[in-house]
Amino acid sequence: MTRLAAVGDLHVGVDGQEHVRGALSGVDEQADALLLAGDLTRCGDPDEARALAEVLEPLALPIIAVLGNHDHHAGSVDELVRTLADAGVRVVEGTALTLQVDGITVGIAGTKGFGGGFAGATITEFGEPLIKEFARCAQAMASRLERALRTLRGADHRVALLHYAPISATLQGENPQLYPLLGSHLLGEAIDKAGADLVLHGHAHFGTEHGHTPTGIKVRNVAQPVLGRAYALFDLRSQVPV
Amino acid sequence: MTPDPNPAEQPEPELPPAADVSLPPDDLAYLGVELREAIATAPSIHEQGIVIDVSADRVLLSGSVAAPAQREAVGQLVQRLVPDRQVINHVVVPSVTPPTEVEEI
Repeated sequence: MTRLAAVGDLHVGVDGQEHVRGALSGVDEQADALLLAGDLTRCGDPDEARALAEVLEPLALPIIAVLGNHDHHAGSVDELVRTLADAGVRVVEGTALTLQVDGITVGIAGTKGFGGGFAGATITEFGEPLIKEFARCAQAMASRLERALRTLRGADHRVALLHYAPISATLQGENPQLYPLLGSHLLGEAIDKAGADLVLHGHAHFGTEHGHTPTGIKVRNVAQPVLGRAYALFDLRSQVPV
Repeated sequence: MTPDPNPAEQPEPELPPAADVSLPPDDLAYLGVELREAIATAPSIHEQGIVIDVSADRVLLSGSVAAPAQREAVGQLVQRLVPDRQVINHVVVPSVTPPTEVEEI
């Protein structure tokens, strides 16, 4: 069995280091790996990245993360990723990696994702260049996620790690007018095509924790305001006969 | 602003350059939008998850932020922008208690 801890939207600022340190204290005794579903920092400022890195570095477990929209605001993504990498955090974006835990392979494919909306209210590649660029960005991220998940077909378990939501069900509680900015059906479609055992996302602070894709893959909104606890824990049961 | 039982000593949040929200009282809907923009762009805050309920004499804030200092900064910023209104700060910081349950996948 493999136990994963997951949380999103830590929004760490230079004034919030102790708060997140308290939240993640002991997670390395509870889980085999920690997954962070984006919005790691308040605005992607390098000082915020260092504050978070100082909290994460001492934790004795693998940490895998995707970035969120907040992490892009300051325009320092490369420095943020380097700072986190120096602290042992592996940031995935349109890529995948595998963890070995007690002989079990857990594959994790991740992307920040993007908006675009859901059935009945989607942004399409039509009209002004900015709208077309928006739509193309969402398509590209979904395509990369699908490819990354397909590389994990030999893994015992596959997890999709996102920031934006892949389904609308886990947005319930948010203002529906915001849905096109909170997620995209293209992410859910990519996951259903490639397959996964669990999907984790954040971004929607007023959303709902539990949902599933049209084919039944479990989706969990692990934004910390939604969880109401420090992080969520998931046991991936071995599917190998013993 | 509603008194906090344990006010933390925090520097006043830096106001965004475009935070001119001197709108007449009739424009309550636009005032809410302006306040939302100010909260999202203020360097010490950067929060989009605040619900802002504006009326003629008060502003009610709810939602969540990541840290206690950020909660105070949100209230102080809004009070500075609308000094003629009572600011009721119901913004919360999510619990960081460890989980007690594990979900099987």
